Amino acid sequence: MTIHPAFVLILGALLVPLFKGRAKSMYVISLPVLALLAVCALPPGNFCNLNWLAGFGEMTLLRSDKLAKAFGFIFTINATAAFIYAFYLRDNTQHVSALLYIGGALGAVFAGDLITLYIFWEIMAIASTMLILARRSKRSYGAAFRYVLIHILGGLFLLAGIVITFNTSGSIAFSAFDPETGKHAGTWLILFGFLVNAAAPPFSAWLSDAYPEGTITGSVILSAYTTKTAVYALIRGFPGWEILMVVGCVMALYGIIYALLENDMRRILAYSIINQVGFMVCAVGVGTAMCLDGAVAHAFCHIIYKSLLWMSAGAVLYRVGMSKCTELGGLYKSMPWSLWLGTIGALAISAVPLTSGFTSKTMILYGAADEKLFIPWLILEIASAGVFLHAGIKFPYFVFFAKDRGHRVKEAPKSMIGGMLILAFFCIFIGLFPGPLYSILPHAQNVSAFALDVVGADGHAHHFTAWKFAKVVTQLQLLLLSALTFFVWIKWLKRTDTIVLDTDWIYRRGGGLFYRNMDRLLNGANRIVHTTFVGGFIGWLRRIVRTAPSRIAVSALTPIWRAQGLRDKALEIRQKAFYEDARLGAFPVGVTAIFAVVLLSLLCLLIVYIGIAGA
Amino acid sequence: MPSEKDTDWIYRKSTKKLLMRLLLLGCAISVLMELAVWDRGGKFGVDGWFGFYALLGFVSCTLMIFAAKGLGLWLKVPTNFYDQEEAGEEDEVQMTGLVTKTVKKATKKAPAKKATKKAAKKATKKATKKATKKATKKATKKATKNVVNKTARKKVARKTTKEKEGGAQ
Repeated sequence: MTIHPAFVLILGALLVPLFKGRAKSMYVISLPVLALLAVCALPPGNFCNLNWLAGFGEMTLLRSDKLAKAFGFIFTINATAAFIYAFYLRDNTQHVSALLYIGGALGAVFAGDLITLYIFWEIMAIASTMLILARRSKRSYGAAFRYVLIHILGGLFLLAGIVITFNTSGSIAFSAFDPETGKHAGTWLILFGFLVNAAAPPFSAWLSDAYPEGTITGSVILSAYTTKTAVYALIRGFPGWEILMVVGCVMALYGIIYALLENDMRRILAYSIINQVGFMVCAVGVGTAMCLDGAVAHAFCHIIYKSLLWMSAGAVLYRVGMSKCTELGGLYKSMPWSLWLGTIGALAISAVPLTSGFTSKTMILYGAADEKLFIPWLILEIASAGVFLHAGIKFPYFVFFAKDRGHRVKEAPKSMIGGMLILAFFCIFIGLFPGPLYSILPHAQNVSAFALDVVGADGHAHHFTAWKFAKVVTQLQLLLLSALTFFVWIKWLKRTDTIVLDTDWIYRRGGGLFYRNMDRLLNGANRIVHTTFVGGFIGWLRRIVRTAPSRIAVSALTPIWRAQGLRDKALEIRQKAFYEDARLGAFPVGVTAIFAVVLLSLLCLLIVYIGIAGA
Repeated sequence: MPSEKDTDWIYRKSTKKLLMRLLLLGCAISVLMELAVWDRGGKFGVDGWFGFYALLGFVSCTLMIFAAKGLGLWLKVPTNFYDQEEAGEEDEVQMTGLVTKTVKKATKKAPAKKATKKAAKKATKKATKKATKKATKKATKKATKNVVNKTARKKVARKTTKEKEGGAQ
């Protein structure tokens, strides 16, 4: 029997409010375990076909293949660990929205067509917003509002792209778009939609804005799904699109620079996500089987160590109630478990040998080098060194060591440590024995404990070994020297109680600035037009129309009055009297009649003239 | 100043020196270990040079730190940069709102550049006291008004019911 893993979570979420206390936590943990079993049991093929939207063709709710299953495995494993971490939590809002969110992510990953993908994509957007709102603070409300607006924008890009693509190709199938012949407005819009969720600059600020404002467990869960679903969608739809290499490299460097500047530990980790997703996006841009498998493997490992880091930061936030590096420090004695488990995550993200990051990141680097792509390879190597700088050392150093701020708190609750232990175990296990991870990769064949053959579309196999002496030595050189750099320049890395302006400035401040400038420009122009045209020209015209007949009459009558012998003051008095009569309309009837007769005769003459001219 | 023995092991200068030496030793060993790599397998030529990754690690990280520092001069803003505008004059609680407003006024009025920190603190303290007093006064006034209004309403209600009852009888 085939069960859709997404519906296990989505339907299960509806029953959460029925449970209370520990039973609620147990129930919530059991759901991702069931979903994991459902993923394991999925045979390859397409299931749940619906002819729901007439004209669009058949929808496939469940497409099971190696790529989808790889993401299905990690999504459910991570969810299990996250809910164990959140065992202390009894909040219905958080649990329901987290389950809907993860269910949406699973639905998107197993979607066999673009319409199904879009529906689950939007479920994810709404449920994740609820996770941010669940913190119930003024900041989180603002962040959630901005987050949902950006995701609506991304969703609209995606929807428009789907409609145009359907119009162009007549199909809603979600498969790889050809990088040579498949480029049209529809596919570009779909790509933009995916990149918004992948947090590619300039649509990246939503991540560092919203994730640090989420709840403790909410942020742990958020860190894993939105960006990685986007990575999955890119792997599925856009392998070999060269623009992604540029985007990935920019993301890798941008994430580091911003993480180095940040003061809030959760904002550091948020920028670190962008940096790591940059590796995966770049790998998709390279598009070879080795790089695509590297991207899948790295997404798998990244979800684990990134969640672990967010859990460690969450434990600190839970106990100390602070998240700024300027307020933290000296926690190594109070929270040793959080320190050591967080450090394992930090080492894994830095791709230190014996950790999971080393076995996956090197696949991408190897793939880029194999294609002789020097600049992307160099940038990714530099980014590898930079990761150690900001996430590997800076995060644990400033939070647990640096300056002792006098926080004497309890260690994190046991459930939190339990969740972290599971993920730390995976970090080390995959680092030591990457074989099981390699065996679930889409192009993997002949997998051993430390090596695999990656077979491309051309049928050519590339051998990859995780453990090579030269690779370990060069990686150690890179990381140890970057650690040395950190301590050499530590005075330059001193934290300040600041935040860093990102592209969200455009809609947070820039919007207001734009409004004010537009107000000045348009209303200023309106005022100028009003004063010159309405107050000036119209007034002048009004005066002219009112006084012109009397002026003409006066200029015509003045010679007559002169002939009558009027001079100087007498003439002036006569003129003024005429003007006054004209203003009041106080002319004698006889004069008016004469003017009327003159006017009518002039009119008659004009008509006669026109008649003669016309004949 | 606490003596060297009183401070935690990790914060002692001697420990810091030791750790730094260990790090330097680690760096040196990692570079020397490359001598044992006979096939460096460089794909671009440059990556096959001896100590290339060590150099890349140090130089790139230094450049990134300097780049971040330079950008920080331009991009770093106070933590409440967005709050000032977004929060506007509305605060989560009216009382705190009153206090913060008056504190802002007080700090504006006080010659911030010349005055010492103590003076500024005093000003803020006074301002907060005044604000809280005002707020409490307002609150008590409102409360008394409400009470008066309630009692008046009750009286009126009683009267009307009595009149109604009278009318019915």
